[in-house]
Amino acid sequence: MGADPATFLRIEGITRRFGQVAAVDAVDIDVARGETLCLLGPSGCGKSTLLRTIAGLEAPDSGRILIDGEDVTALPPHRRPVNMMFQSYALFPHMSVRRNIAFGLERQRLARAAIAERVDEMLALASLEALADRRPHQLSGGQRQRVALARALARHPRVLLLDEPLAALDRQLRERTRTELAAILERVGVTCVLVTHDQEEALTLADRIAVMRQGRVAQIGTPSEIYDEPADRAVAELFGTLNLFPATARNGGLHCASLGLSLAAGTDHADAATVAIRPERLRILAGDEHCDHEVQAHVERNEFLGAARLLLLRLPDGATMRLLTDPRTRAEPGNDVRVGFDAHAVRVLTQ
Amino acid sequence: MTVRARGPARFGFVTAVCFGYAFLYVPIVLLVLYSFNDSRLVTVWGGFSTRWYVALFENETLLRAALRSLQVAVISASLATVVGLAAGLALVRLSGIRRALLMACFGSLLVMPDVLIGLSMLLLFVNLDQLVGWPGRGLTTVALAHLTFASAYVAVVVRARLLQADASIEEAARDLGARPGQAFWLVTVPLIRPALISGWLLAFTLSLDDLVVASFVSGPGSSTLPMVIYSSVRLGVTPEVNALATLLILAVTLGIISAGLINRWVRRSEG
Amino acid sequence: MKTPAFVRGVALLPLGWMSVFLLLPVAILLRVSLAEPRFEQPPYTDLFALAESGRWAFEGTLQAWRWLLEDPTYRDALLGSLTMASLTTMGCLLLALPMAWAIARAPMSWRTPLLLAVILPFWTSFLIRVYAWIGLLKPEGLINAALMATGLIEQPLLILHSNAAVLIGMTYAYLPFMILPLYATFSRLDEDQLQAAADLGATPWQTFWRISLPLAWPGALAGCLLVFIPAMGEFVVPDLLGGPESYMLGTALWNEFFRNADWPTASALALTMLVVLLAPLALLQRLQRRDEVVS
Repeated sequence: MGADPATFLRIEGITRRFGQVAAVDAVDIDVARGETLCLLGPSGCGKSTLLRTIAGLEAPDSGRILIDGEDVTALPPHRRPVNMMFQSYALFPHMSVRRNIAFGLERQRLARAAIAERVDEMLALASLEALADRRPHQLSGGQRQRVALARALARHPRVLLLDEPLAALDRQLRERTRTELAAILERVGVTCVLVTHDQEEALTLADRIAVMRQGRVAQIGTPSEIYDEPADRAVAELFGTLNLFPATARNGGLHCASLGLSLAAGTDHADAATVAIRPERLRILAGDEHCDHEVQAHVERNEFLGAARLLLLRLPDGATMRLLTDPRTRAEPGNDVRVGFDAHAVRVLTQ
Repeated sequence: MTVRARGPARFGFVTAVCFGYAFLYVPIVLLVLYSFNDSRLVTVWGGFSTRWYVALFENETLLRAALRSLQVAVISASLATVVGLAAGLALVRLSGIRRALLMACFGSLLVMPDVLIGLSMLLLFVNLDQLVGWPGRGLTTVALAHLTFASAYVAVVVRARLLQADASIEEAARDLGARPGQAFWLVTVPLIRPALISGWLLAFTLSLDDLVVASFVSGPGSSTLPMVIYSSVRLGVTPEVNALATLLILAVTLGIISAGLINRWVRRSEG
Repeated sequence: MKTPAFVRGVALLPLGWMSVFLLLPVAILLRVSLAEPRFEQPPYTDLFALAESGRWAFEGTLQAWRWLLEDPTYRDALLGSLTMASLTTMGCLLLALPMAWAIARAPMSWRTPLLLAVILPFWTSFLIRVYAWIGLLKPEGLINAALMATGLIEQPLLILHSNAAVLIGMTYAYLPFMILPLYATFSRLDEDQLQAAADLGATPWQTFWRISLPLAWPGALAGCLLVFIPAMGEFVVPDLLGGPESYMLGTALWNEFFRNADWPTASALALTMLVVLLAPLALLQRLQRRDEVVS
């Protein structure tokens, strides 16, 4: 493995076993300076264990953690230049907001004035000035989240760890807080590893996403790469509903009966594969419109979703297909329509 | 409450519950009432009087024993809180053989008959005294014995509270640069303060209450309050003891209520 | 995170304390039980003596243990303890079942005061609570006075200084230990399960016997052990409320120690008590470990 000069945090072959089960299984990830990497996956996929390993709260069975070239694997949590925002926020209930934020600075034996100055800076950053003397239980969920973030940022961590930063908030608050969080992270410019099971959170906050499954990294890439070019069916299914059709090998290429579609070979796909198309990549074609590929479909249901319209279509061979389109589209159930899609909208997936 | 007995079953059930509470409280209530009885006889109400309280405060033996018991209780409760805190932490954080050993020791201490604890403590003290000339037999040995069994109760309370607490709070302290000891003192101890307070109170009461263990390990001239009460009770019902009992019950009730209020206050100020 | 050095360091205090104050004394009990009493300090003989040959000789004796086996008084004490402890356990269980159930099913705001009312007597002096029964039970006491006033009896019942009085006193003293674990399990029962049973046509009694009780048996067993174990060694209650027939292990041990100054026999009795209690103690530990796994 050649050391990429841009790499700031290097996770090298980290394995963490609990009994027989490897919660994290030989994971390698490089994170660039200032980058926000998101570990995405269902609960139990090992993403939190990996995060805790970076923080030093879990000791790996093998592998190394390097920060800016320095091996920190053996360092206990209190000597690592990383700070974490816990899922429960883990605010100290017996301390005011100010004391919570000052806690980490006090451990560094900074001068009192320097601590006060940095705390004020953090309070301003997280818009908490008016709440500085409150206790955690006197704050709303969103305010607590900001205290936890300010507390974790106060020590100028070289890597900031966020464990499900928005999971403790209710749905309505989550979106607004997410925007605030993104703004703060951008302003501070800290290298950041974030754990979430929420794909929307991952897509909006991350520079790169590492999709984790059963302790391993299934795919790593930018949000648009992960969304548009999923490595396999499971990764694809993480992000929204997907139309999947079986395809078989024929004449050295692949043939999908449902869409009446033949694809050239040249890929390493074996004799059977799945063809995937996202619902929003399908279009209903007007009389004279044409597309790379076209297929006839029968409208079964028409659901108005507010911002969009979802059509449930039946294809000539009996397979169903979802199509997401403009809410003004007219397609009454019972009618036949012509559906078109571009060549690059089609993905061939293994498994 | 949707599953409810009806008719005679319900009546029987309510009767059983009322009987249970009456069983618990009638003796105590009567004791309090008769401490104000002018007559020496339990069956006769001789009119309201506070003469037994006057007699109580003139009884030097009782008062001196009470003072001794308070001394022992304060010291043993405070030390038991320290040992119990360490034990509670160890029970939650340790694993393997050491944890099993601690579980067995503290679990047994909770239920072990007093005579067994008393005799084994005494033999230990006698042997220690032979070997190193310490601790003799007196208030020191009583305090040591009390501290030992009371620490088991403190450990139970501390352990329950630690299991309840959010483990990531201490981790957060470590993550923010606190050494393990600092994280414990600055974050975990304040977090379980209510448990430490109620553990201390429990240890204090147990020490104040103990007759059997103290009888074994105390020496001449170091009789505790329960020992003095016991010897006078064996001679028959003495109204002075009624008065003393009433005062003790009052003290305990006030103690529990204030502990409850402190707890509620702490919880409210910490969410 | 592996157990940090700090925790291992802190654990030394309780581990060391228990080794010195609990485990070591058991060894000393065994040693003293093999000695003979004597009128010196300490009041028991040495186990090893320097013989004339210049070698150490074992001087221990099984006399105290032989004593225990041969003298029927001790067997009666053991049987007395077993009987009274079992009866006390049953008495507590019978009284505690409806109370714990009522508290667990009471409206939320009632539970804490009701529970506190159970715990409060536990915090007041054990000795004084036992003493309170003397005034109630004696021939000219309140219970007899009340019974005679209502004309139910003509002669006062001789309850005090009998096994009945001991049973009442012990049940009274240990009742909270039964109510608390029972309450804990009852309150953890899922209300939906009970409603489902009712919905499937079970009467409240059937629900209690078929659903609640089978689910609550670990709590009931824990309560029984919490009462049985200390009751086996009870001394204060039989001494104050009992009569000559209320001879129990605790009383026997107390008498050997304080009246006869026979430390070896007292130690042998203490070890006997410990051995009898080992199985219940182990069972209690297992229940607690199980409880931990569940919660």
